[in-house]
Amino acid sequence: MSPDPALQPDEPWEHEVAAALRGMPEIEPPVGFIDRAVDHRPLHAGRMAAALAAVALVALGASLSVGADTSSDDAGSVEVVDGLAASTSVDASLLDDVGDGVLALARQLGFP
Amino acid sequence: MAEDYGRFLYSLAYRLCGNHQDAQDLVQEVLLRVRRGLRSYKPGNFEGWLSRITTNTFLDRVRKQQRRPTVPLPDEPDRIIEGSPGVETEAAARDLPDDLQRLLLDLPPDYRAAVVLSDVIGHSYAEIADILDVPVGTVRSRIHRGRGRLREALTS
Repeated sequence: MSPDPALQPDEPWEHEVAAALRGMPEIEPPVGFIDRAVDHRPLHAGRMAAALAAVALVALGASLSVGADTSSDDAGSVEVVDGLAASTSVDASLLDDVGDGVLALARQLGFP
Repeated sequence: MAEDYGRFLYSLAYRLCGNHQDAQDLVQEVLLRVRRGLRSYKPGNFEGWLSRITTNTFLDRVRKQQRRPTVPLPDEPDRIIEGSPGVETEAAARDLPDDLQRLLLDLPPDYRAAVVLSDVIGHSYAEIADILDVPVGTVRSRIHRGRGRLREALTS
């Protein structure tokens, strides 16, 4: 039974490989990159604004669709009967999903 | 604070990822986690703490990519943050003795992390065990096997 390498001291050839790796130089970050990476609030604020704008558009579109058909008696879904989109169905739970998505995105971006 | 350790953090990220774009993404995510975790940080080995966050974030990203494989995009000028190292710097990094950086990327992520933390960054086996949250024997085994693969590649 061969000995477990995890329990053995480093072998001579390992020192050679390790020495070569130790000779690798440090990598300089791009000029100003760390400053920009630390100060990430503006970036997140921009992303948040874009996400909120997208959600607002979806919500607006969905509410217009609801308004287009007030005769529907189905509480769970609304048939869009406006023009060519007659066969399209908008699930009312979609808005809840979008809201959850925005909250998750906000948390991911560091907003409390 | 992050500025003081920026070079350390960026070097570790680059050695793990192998290219500037992924290294920059990783560093940004690490700095977010650092910011959130500063309150829980206990004064001690700050580089060890940074290494732990960076390595775990890297391994998390690798696991996510393995679950949802994506095709990497080539570097484009407008996707690289202004001030990124130019072609010459990239070439210099690639032309390391024996092209070690490329060989590192051929290692499985767990082996690569252990080898980089040990032989590039200089952490002790005990520190790496703490960083990776695995037994010291596992660390030794990963480093031993990682070095073995590098040796094979270097001699082939």
